[in-house]
Amino acid sequence: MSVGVVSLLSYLGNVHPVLAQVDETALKAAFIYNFAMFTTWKTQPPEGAAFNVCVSHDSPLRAPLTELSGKSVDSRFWTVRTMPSASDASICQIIVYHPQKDGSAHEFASAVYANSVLLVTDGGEAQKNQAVITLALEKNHLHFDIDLGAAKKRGVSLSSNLLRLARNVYES
Amino acid sequence: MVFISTVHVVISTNSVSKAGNRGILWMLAIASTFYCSSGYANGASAVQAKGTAANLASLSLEDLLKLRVVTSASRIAQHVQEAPSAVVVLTAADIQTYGWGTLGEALATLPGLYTTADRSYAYLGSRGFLRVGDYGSRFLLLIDGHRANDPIYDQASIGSEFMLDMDLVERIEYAPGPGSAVYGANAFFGTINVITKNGRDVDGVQAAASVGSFGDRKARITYGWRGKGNNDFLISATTHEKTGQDLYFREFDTPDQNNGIAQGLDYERGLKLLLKGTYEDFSFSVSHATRKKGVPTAPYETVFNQPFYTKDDQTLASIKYSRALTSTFALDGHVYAGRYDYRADSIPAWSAPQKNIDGSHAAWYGLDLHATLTSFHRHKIVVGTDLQRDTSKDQYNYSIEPYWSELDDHQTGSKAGFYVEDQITLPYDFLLNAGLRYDTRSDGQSSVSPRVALIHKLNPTTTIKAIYGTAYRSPNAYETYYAYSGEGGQERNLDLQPERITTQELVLDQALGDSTHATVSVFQYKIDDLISLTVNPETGLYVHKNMDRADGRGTELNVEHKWREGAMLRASYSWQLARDGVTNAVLDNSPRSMAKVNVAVPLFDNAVRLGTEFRYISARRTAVGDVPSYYVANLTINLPKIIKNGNLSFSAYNLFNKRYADPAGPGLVQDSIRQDGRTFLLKLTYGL
Repeated sequence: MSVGVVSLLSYLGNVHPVLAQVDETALKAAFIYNFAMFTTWKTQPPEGAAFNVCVSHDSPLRAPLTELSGKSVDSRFWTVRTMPSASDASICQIIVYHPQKDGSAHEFASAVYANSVLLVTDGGEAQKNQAVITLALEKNHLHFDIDLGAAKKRGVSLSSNLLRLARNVYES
Repeated sequence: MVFISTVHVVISTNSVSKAGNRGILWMLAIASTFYCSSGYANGASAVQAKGTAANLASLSLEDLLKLRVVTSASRIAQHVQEAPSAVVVLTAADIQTYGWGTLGEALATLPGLYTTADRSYAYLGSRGFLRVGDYGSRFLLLIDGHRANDPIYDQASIGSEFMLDMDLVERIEYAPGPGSAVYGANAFFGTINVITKNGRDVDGVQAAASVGSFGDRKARITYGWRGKGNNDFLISATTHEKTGQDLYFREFDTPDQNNGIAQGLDYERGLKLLLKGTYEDFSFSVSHATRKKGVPTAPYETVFNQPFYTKDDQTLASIKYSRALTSTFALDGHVYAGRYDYRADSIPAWSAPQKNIDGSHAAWYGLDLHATLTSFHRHKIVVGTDLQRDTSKDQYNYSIEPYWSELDDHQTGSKAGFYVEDQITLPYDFLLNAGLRYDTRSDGQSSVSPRVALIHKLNPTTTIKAIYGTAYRSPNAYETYYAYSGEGGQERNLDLQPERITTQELVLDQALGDSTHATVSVFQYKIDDLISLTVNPETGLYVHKNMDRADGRGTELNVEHKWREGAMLRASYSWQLARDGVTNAVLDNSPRSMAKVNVAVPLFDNAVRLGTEFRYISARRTAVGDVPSYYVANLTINLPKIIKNGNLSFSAYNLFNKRYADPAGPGLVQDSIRQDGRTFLLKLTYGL
């Protein structure tokens, strides 16, 4: 439903009355896909038709992210890869990690990558976890916080349409 | 395996003692499948079944932010109903599951709604009120939020003349009850909003072709493109054609009228085009549809079994702008323009073999601007204005060879509406929604339409709503200006005033356990200044006058249930009593009760999706008698995995070949029009 569609529900109350069951990890994966749509990568890895989304092999987001395989992003194909070591992670366009669970989260967060990378965390505190976008569940709704300083450091630029929907935007 | 054999038994049963038994047998057959289906099915609809990442990824971020996460094992999210009406949503998945070919077929499955067709157009009725031939003008039809009722007849096109191919519909929202407090004219019995798909929903090239009974064939090609952010583009073209049948009409069964057989006159053909896109905060849309339909029923004293066709052409264009200026102030504006042309070519009996052309032309443009404010704590306010200028509302009628003009009327007009709506969160789980709209027209008519709804969440599973509202319908250009001279002619009436309806409704929304949801509503309405055709005693000519009243009351019950494996059931029953306010007689074409069931069952790990629906409508009065009660069953089988990126579907409509008829409107000699028996449709969709 693109911007500008006047749904009856926008007049009658912003609630979708159809019985909606939304699974948390599926929703997070959908958010991450949408983030990709609003992000510009300043430098890309040179070859390959793959748009690499790197996530650890035991992450709960791995399965829903893999469902999106083949979807086109920037004329490349969404491909989910197991998180390589930090030194090889330059092939990734998006890295998704969990600050509490991933033991090496701190490594990914502080590593320097040869190309632009969008760091997305599931949980944790924005600005502290060094992610560009932090997903947060608040009162059964999913929100996201943006750290513009981290975005600049990681060589990604986010559209104003994304910024206006964020819960918090940190300049840092 | 058990399911298949049960179905086989039902279909091969030839001896039936009572028509009703067959319907019940059918329902039992479907019920037995619930215990046999295996496999965990993926929900076909983004929000109706389990939301998978793939389905959710096609929603915009704005919509994703609104969704509730259910972290527990329950399959139904907390059903928070804040709408001041019992809004019902039908999705693209439903359209495919049940094989609905027109908007009318989809709406007819909703509680309280029913359709009537006369082999020319299809009309919609609600809560026991449907005047055949009134062009469905007591419903507001919106496409992506902009008005699609034309300015001559105010018609809500729900049949094959509808502007869109149903494959391009993302969802249909129906809000029953008076909607004039926000939308102005024609939202009398309800508001229908049809939302179209976006380029991202197609994501590439998609082609579809279908063949069906009586030479029914249709082809569509669509291209959708998804860009960065919200950027999106979609273009689609559909062509449809139907040869139709030869039809027999008892009323014309004489040797000089081909023994009552209208040959080759139930044909139709048309084209539907859609072009839409989004770029940043702007979106645009252009749609065009044309339909030519043969008319076999010889209405308006035309010669039977002679060429008679109607042609409807409509174009709608709009540009929308939507932006959240701050976190508490959002602005939505849209500029729109439209064009409508209607033409009927016939051979009237009194001038045969001379042909007669009756037609109309309308052109209009307008602006709708509204702001949504959430800066006041506990208030959500919408303020807006809706301005429209009709640059032409022309009606004409002439005979050819020799040329003789009977009517050549040109009108222009403008109208303005101002509306405000506030949704106030009150303590103790109460919500108050109050709306008011003021409409004024260049011909001097004005209307004030209020609506108030009080919503209370009794507990996490129960919500009750009390709704009061009024709505109006302005007399259309046809009722006001159409005129022709001579015996049996018609005259204008510039004194016509809007019809008005006042409705009170009480709704109970109850979640029953994890997978079941029920809604009960009780309503009452009163219509004043109902416009009817009568004869002016002074001139002897027909004229439209605000002369009738009607009132109705009733109850609607709707239950939905979802099974773990993905099967779904929706069942409704409605009882309504609609009477003439002057004579107290029950209205024509008003069924006392209706029962509907829709069941969707996925089988074999979602390789087969079965959609079946059943509808019972009780007897209805006609002008001189009545049409008996009837039931209709439809079945659609979808095979989404038969080819990669493709879907094959097979539908059987009126599966039991039940004979039924709808009451006929004024202008028709027939008292009722027989509807189609069993028909089939085979459809293939393929995406590249």
